[in-house]
Amino acid sequence: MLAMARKEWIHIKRDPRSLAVALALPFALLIINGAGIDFDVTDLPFAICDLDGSQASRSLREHLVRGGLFRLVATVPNARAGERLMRDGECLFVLVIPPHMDADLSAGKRVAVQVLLDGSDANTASTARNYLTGALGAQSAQLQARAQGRLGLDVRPIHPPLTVARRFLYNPAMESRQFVVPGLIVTILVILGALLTSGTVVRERERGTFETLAASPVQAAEILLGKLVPYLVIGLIDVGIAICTGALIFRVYVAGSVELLLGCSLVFLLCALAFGLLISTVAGRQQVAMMAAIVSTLLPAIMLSGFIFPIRNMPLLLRVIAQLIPATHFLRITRPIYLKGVGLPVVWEPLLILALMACVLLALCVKRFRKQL
Amino acid sequence: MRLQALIRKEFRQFRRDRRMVVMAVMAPIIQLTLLGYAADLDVQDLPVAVCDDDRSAESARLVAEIAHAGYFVVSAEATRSADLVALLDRGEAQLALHIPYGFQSRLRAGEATVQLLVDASDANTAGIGAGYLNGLIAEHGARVLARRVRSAPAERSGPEIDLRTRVLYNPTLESVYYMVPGVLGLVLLVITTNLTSLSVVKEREAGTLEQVMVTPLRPWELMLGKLVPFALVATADMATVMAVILLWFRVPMQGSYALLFAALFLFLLTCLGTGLLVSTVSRTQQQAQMTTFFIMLPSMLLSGFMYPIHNMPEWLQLTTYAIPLRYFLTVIRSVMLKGSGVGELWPELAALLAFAVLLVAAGAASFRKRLQ
Repeated sequence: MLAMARKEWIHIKRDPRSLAVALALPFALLIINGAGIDFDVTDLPFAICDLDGSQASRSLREHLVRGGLFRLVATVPNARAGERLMRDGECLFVLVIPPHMDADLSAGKRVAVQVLLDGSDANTASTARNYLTGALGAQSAQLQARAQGRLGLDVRPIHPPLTVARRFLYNPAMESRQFVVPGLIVTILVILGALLTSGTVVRERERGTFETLAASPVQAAEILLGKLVPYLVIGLIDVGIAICTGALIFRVYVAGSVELLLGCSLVFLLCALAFGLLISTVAGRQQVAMMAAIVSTLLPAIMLSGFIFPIRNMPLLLRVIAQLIPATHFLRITRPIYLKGVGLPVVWEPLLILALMACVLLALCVKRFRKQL
Repeated sequence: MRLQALIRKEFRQFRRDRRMVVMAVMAPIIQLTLLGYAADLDVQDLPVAVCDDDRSAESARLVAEIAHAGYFVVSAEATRSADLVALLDRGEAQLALHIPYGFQSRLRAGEATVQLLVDASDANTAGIGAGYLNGLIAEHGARVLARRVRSAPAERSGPEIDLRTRVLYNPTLESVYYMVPGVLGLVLLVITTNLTSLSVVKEREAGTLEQVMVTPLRPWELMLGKLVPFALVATADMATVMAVILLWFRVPMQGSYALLFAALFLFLLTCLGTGLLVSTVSRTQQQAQMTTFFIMLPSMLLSGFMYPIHNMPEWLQLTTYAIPLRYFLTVIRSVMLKGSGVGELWPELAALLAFAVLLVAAGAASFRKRLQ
């Protein structure tokens, strides 16, 4: 088995580009994602069509711009011009302030402010709508108080009878990168498994060295484990690089035990690599193996594991598939360890599932492999 | 004639491997399903743990209101408020609400407070969920206030600003409409770049490239012979994906098909050029795969396919201009959802054209050099 591992290692060394990619991967992914993934919506571009041009409409505009959530990009003479801007993608919404708003408000009437919203990016649009409702609600209350004051009424602000004291645990600043980094560790290991091991067996077969192996007295299990060991080492190094990059560049630190995280990573790596090997024994050609690996592991790991999109929201079938993906369970380990600082008493369950998955996958590999030998 | 024979040869090789054909069909379908059904950032059935120390009619009403709002599920009830954090730790709830003793009487006096603990480790869901819950509780408070002042209705009237939102292009705010057209670009990129980059390397590895080279084929014929079959496979994929987008997901098509196809063609050229370029700089299939992958990944992440570009930091936004998929996504989303025309989209189309010319030319030049 050791000899097999050494042989595989020589293969890896002979192809320095793959090794370089494998080692650069965690770094590159963290940089792009850590900086790029930001779901906090700020600086939403909008245009204003002020048909009133009064004190009240100016204060409404000021109020929107001051919050930092919205950025005024244009003032348009009519709604149609605003719509054109929106179609060009220059702004996300157009705020149309009706004529006589100030007068109507002073007269104590209700005023309808119209908003044209670009709904094509539904997620951003609904966030924008929620922000806007909040901002206008606050402004509305202020105007109301002012108007009542002008009318000589009681200006005592109506304070809400029920308030909520909120405390955000684990990630008080609500930074996206805090939950992106532990998720990326999962993605990196999945990619590694998909890219590195999926090709190993097929490659030997394509090159005709498989027969040589088959003729040797080495056992199937020994060959497979020997093939896995070097990649396990690379994988662990990758986790190390990811943890360091996260800490040094993004200041995302492991709240729990790093040893536990590495240990769990090892179990998950076994799953990911074994799955790659399994693909490798099934696929007839390298090209097929690679494509299959990308489609069947990488995309589900990003889309279905709960990394970005909550599993709760998916239809039943996808929820079931999500439970069958090792990445889902590994994510249930990395995030709590990283952010909540919990230990084995909390993460034993997903860890056990991962260990079982690893055993099943390895057994399948050995079985397939033995048949081919 | 010679070109035809070569194309026929490539097709035969492609067909001979059933599994490759299966992959070429399955890949787009899997991607469409994942993006169509999994990419939903909205909040649904978020587990909430409740610790009700008051056990009054008012507190029960508040909890029932939260449970029936449609966004939350009361997943656990704690008897001691100290247990709430443990529930969050174990991930059994993402939000925890503590209603303190004396809630009912304080609420009727108009000064009640409840405590909300939020598991912010998934900052995204947590933020939206906490926002919703906050809104619900505030509404509840407003209703209690309304009940209290019903005897004095004067307090509620007065000037007010109503927000009338009209959502254009996607009135029901379906995120599917935005995500699914993007798959068309991604599928093209994955399939075309992958097939093209590997086909040349594969022949080199198998040693058949030399055989082809000693035939009287000219380099450009050889190159076209490699490119045309994959362009056709990609076109077939494109048609499948387009049909699924329109017929299954029912994404509305507002703009012109001609414009869409023009953009598709330009984008296809950029993918072919990239694939060719990769094939000439790689010796083994694995190298080619790794290199392709390193091009694909930034394309997925930085093109605006998954994450909005306007949220990225300035320097990262600049790099997105180097990614052809970015322009294609803007075009297909605008054409399909907004019905935009050449008037609005010419900068994107020009960029696509420039990339197409540049990449194909570079690919061809490099391919020629490799052959000689």
